[in-house]
Amino acid sequence: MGLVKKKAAPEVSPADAGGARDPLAALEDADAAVRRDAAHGLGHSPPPGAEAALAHRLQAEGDAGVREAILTALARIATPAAAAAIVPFLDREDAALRNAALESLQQMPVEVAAPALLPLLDHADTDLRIFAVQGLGSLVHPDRAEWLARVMEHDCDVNVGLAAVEALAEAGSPEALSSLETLARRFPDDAFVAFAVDAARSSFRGR
Amino acid sequence: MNGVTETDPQGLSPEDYATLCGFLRERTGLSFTEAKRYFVDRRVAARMQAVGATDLRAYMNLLRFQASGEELQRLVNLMTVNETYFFREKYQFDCLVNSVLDELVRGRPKGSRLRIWSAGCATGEEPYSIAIMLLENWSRVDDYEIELLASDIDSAVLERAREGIYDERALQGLPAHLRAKYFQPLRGGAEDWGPRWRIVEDLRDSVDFSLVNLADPQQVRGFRGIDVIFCRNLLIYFDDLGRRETASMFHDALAPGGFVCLGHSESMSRMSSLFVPRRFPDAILYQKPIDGGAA
Repeated sequence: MGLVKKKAAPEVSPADAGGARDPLAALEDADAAVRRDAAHGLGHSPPPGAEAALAHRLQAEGDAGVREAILTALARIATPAAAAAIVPFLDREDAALRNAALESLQQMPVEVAAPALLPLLDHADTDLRIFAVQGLGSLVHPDRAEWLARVMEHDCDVNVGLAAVEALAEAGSPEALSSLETLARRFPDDAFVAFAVDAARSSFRGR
Repeated sequence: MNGVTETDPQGLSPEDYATLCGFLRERTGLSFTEAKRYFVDRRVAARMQAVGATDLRAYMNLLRFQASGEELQRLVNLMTVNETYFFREKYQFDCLVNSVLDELVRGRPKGSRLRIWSAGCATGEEPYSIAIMLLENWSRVDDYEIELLASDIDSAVLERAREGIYDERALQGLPAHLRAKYFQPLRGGAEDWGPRWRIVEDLRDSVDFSLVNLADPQQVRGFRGIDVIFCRNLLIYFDDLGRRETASMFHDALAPGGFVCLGHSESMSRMSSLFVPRRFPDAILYQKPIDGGAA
């Protein structure tokens, strides 16, 4: 035994090759590897309706690899419909799925991701508003600081405001200083707000 | 920042080149002379385009002030891409023979098969290093059938890998007794090439090289039931979605409980949530969960 002498390279059997099978149908195959490959293929060559089919499959999918492939495919398709298909997964209990969904939106072009995330800033669910802030905060867009400033000045939940502070502090946005001051005034009794705002202020001045 | 001018579309200006090289030397110890100009220009231009930097000033600001240091690491990796050699980042091979393989074979009968895949093997130094490490440092090597697979997208480098001919630089990290044991000096052509050695036939026959584009699922379909994948300093060339797709493909290729070994600057957690980081005494690897990650 020991090192095995080489043989022919791994071969792709005709049965494995996938052939001309309809990828939308393959997305519902019993074999997870077939579903994963179907998702990959749909991401690169999406037929009409691919977004809806991927989203439908994602609702029921139990295999982590296939879920990852579906979210990656939607991120690659990157149409408004693909972004809209991902948004409902931001409020899932499954943290891995939720984070992967947010990451997929962040990996879409900003002109697709931003319109999908912006409405969430007004959502009744605080957690969704925080995810929206995290998502928008990572986008490269001229209005980014303005979006986050609006959150700091108007959002009623202190944690959403702090998420905006964190997003601003990462990139450094001195123009948002006045919004930071506003947040500090809105929550004068919250020691962590004072700390976070102070840290962000120092960070901006250090740049 | 003083002294940084607009980037010439044909390459960096002499002042910019000097500024950049000084910065890299200061931060990394890497030294690039004027002779490396084209090499550096191309890589800097590619990275500037990738991050959307419109001029060198913006790019240098990113290199200097990015808190994570990620972009500097990416540039450094690009600059050192041709610096592959035997036993590079040996601590990861130590991890393989000191910890990972023993864990993988726990409960497996003698004679069962282990599959190790060097993905992006370039000219073969990595898979041959693995072979040598196994033969020299894993006491149970003869108890199992170990299959070494190696792939690259570049047919030219694969041909060189199959030939197994290396110069002094590639062998610089190899102890003399291993060089004597696993390499034969090549005669002829020494004036042109400098001293060269060929890896022994027995070892060449132990690595199964194949041309594979990792971005094409059809081409990687044959890689299944893999126990360990080495994919070091390759995914830096992929975009975010490409990295996610490749990580997903690795997940599919691995047997449950199998491991991925990335380059020292790469982190699976920035690519995919499918793997669990495992800290061993010698290195951190990424493991496919035993249950495969099914929900």
